[in-house]
Amino acid sequence: MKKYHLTIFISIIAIAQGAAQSMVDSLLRSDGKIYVVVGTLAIILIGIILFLIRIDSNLTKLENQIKQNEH
Amino acid sequence: MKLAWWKLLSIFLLFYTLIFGMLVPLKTGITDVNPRKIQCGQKITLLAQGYNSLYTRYQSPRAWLKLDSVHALAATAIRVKNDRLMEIDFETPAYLPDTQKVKELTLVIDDVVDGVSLLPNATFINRGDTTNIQAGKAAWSKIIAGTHAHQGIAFPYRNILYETIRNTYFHVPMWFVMFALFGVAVYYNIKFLRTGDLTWDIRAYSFIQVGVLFGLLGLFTGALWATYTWGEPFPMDLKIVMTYTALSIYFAYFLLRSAFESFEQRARISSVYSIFAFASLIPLLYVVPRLAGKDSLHPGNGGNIAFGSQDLDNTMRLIFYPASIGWILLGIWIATLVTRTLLIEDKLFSK
Repeated sequence: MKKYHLTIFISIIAIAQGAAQSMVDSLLRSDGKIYVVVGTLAIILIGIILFLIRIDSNLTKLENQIKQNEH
Repeated sequence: MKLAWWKLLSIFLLFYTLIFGMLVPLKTGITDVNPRKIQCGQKITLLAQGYNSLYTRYQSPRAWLKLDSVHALAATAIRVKNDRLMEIDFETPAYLPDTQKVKELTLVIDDVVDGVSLLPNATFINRGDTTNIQAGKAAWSKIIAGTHAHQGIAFPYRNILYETIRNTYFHVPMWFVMFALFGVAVYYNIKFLRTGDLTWDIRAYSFIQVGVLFGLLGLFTGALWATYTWGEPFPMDLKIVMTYTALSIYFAYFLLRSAFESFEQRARISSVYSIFAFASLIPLLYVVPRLAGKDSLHPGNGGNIAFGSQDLDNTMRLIFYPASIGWILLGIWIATLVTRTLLIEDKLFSK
């Protein structure tokens, strides 16, 4: 029985994933594909923000180092 | 805190790019035509779907089915349904001035309000039996003249691309930033090799880091754009393959740096490597894709014409060039932040 449960579970996930995929797909193709441009801007923003977080954490490390040196 | 002028300029240019790049509308276009197949020697009604069109305000709309530069068929009647829908009647003569059996036709619609708009391969005409050649020749010889230009500021309307033509201001400058930052890194590398001052190597290293960041952003934004215009995220296009190569060369730069214990040795060898990497970048990204006989999907490569008037018109140039400068300045800004962090680190640990 358990095997069937797994099969059903997996197929439900696959269907849901497919539905979500096609929803995203139809959104990105709607309104003259303007959401592709929105997505492009989002990718650039996320990339730059992740990089800024990396710089931030490096600076925090250095600040801690300076504090330790002072003591 | 007072920001340097070029940082303020970068902010200003990027705001300008975002506002005008996103708000300027597209020109009027035709998205779809029904039916896609027509026959010679029949009365047909084409249903044309407009994009950014104001059909109800049209004063004296004209329409043609264009066969080639000298053959076109004028519409007999035009009925506007709403702003986006128009019915166009044609009487196709029982004669086709072409040797092919089936020929693709371009639909051309013109009016003062929106200017001229056209859809290539709008419908396909089937030759059928030829009768009354004289009348047919006369019907096909309507020359499209006196078309109107689009009023106001607008970006070109391109089928398949539609609004994503705006990505020109976001995807393309990513590569310019990458190129500029790698170029600055080479300048610093040469400085290091001439002076032996390790801080120059640190500067070059941070510029390459940010350059690779922008290279990856270019790759991923391109993947999204390609998925919805070319059909797949990473098509086997020569320019894209060359980009993988170029980015791999720069990934190897980081590997190379991590392989050395001595700072002196690391700086010297990675500096020389970076100069050679940049020298290989130009043929990889700009020469090979153009030399290849195979057509590239990217404009300006292979048989695909460079930024022609359709890809980058004068309106787009007004935004594309400031956008490129703005993004490059932003890239340099981020790179200087990394440089400053690394220089502080260097000071702390060299004590």
